[in-house]
Amino acid sequence: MTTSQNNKDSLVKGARNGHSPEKKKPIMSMVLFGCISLTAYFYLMTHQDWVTETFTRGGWYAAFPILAAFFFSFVHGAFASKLLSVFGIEAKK
Amino acid sequence: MKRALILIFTLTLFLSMAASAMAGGPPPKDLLKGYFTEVNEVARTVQFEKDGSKTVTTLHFNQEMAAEDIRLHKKVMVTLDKHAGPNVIGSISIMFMDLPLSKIGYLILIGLIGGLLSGFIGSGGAFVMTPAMMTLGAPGAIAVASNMCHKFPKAMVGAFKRYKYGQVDIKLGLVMAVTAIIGVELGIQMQKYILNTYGNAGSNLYVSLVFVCVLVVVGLIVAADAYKLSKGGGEAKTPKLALALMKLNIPPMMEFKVAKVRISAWVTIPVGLLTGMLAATIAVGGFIGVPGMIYVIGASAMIASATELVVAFIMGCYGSVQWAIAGLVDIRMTLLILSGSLIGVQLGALGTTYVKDHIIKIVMASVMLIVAVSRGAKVPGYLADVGLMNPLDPQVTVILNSVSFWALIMALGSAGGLISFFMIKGMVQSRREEKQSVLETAHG
Repeated sequence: MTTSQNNKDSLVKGARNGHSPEKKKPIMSMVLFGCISLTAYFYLMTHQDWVTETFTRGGWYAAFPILAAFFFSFVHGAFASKLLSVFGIEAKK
Repeated sequence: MKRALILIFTLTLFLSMAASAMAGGPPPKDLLKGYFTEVNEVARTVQFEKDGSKTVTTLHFNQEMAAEDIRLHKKVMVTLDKHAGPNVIGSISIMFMDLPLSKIGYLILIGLIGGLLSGFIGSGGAFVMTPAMMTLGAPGAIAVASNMCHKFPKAMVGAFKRYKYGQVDIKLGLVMAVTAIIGVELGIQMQKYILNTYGNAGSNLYVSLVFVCVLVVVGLIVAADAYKLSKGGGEAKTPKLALALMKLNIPPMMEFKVAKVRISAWVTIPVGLLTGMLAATIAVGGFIGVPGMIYVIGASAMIASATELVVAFIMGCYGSVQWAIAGLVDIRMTLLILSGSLIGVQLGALGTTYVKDHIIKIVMASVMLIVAVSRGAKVPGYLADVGLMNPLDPQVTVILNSVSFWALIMALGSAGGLISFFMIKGMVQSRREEKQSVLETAHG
């Protein structure tokens, strides 16, 4: 079988499955970011008293909620992005 | 991209050090935060330890209060009733409510739909978060602060996604954000003047009337435009007003490459100022910012809704710093809403790549008009408060309040439904076309 025939077969197979044949799904990175995010949320909910007390002291302590919002948006945002890719929900090319 | 990110970051840092302007008004200054440590029922006093200091103050009960109203060793916010005498308690709110699983689920769901809306039309979502958190039992100031703090990371992720799809005009976003912050300052001064002249009831009436008028007028314009576009095949043309304004050659002229617009700064600045003024008044500047960019500046709905996310990020970041310095952010609520909205905002952003311009306008118009109903239901109550109407029957007040609340929920629900419908339809069609073209290539 020639290379071009192989390519054709892969294209047809991919098309029948309903998704692009060559694109690999980012399952590992989704799991990694998901674990970091889940751990962070678990810590937040199991240390509510400390977190709410410290994060609302005001003044320079304002850095805590702002940095936490940035941290969660990077980690959980990355997880959300990978999750959508794994489900095959992607922007139109 | 790197230059743009550095610019945004520098601007945000600079702005957070500036004066006290922010969307939705500044944090209240007359709040005491801390803990009640000991109650004296006979003397009707309570010992209060201020947050961050070891000093203990004796506060007096007001006439309606009982010892049962005091919760010891729980962080509270206290306002003083200065008319009743020195150190007399006006009101007490417990800062952090308990969060059982049902409330956690509710916050994540509201976040998901709000994020979907933000990613798709560039604004909205936030208008329902504050009332939603207050319904769960959060004090007003905490709800506003926690909402503000969830808004900027959400807008940042949404803006980044839509930048990748080539929809964000960073220069336009920066110009809009800077002028909007000046507008916020003007809006706050106007609010203060109205509050001092006409009191709290007058201020509430003013805010509601501005809210309803702006939303109805702009919502109808957007709806009419969307209807016309859908009849004409959905291809958007630059609005006539924007075309006429583009011909004004008054320097300095500004060129926005992504939006494909060259227009005088004398047109762009008023749009930004008005957005900021409305943000300070009705807390949803995006409802004027996006239509302003479409109909006055001449950007497409796609570019305008994406660029609004840059404006929301800068203004939200700035406001959050102020509220966090006041120590009012309940980070648990912020992050729970964020967990849903970070998924929603990315879904909404990628949804825009499957729809035409007029679909974004349809969703925007329907949300604006339903939210106008919600606020409109509050107007009779405020009219009665300022004495322009007879006092309302308590039953009518209850009905109007529930109309107002359910209209908000309906706005969110219908927006979520519409976006999902158009997105799924677009995706199915695109998959079918892709499959067809791959099969044709393979067989051809």
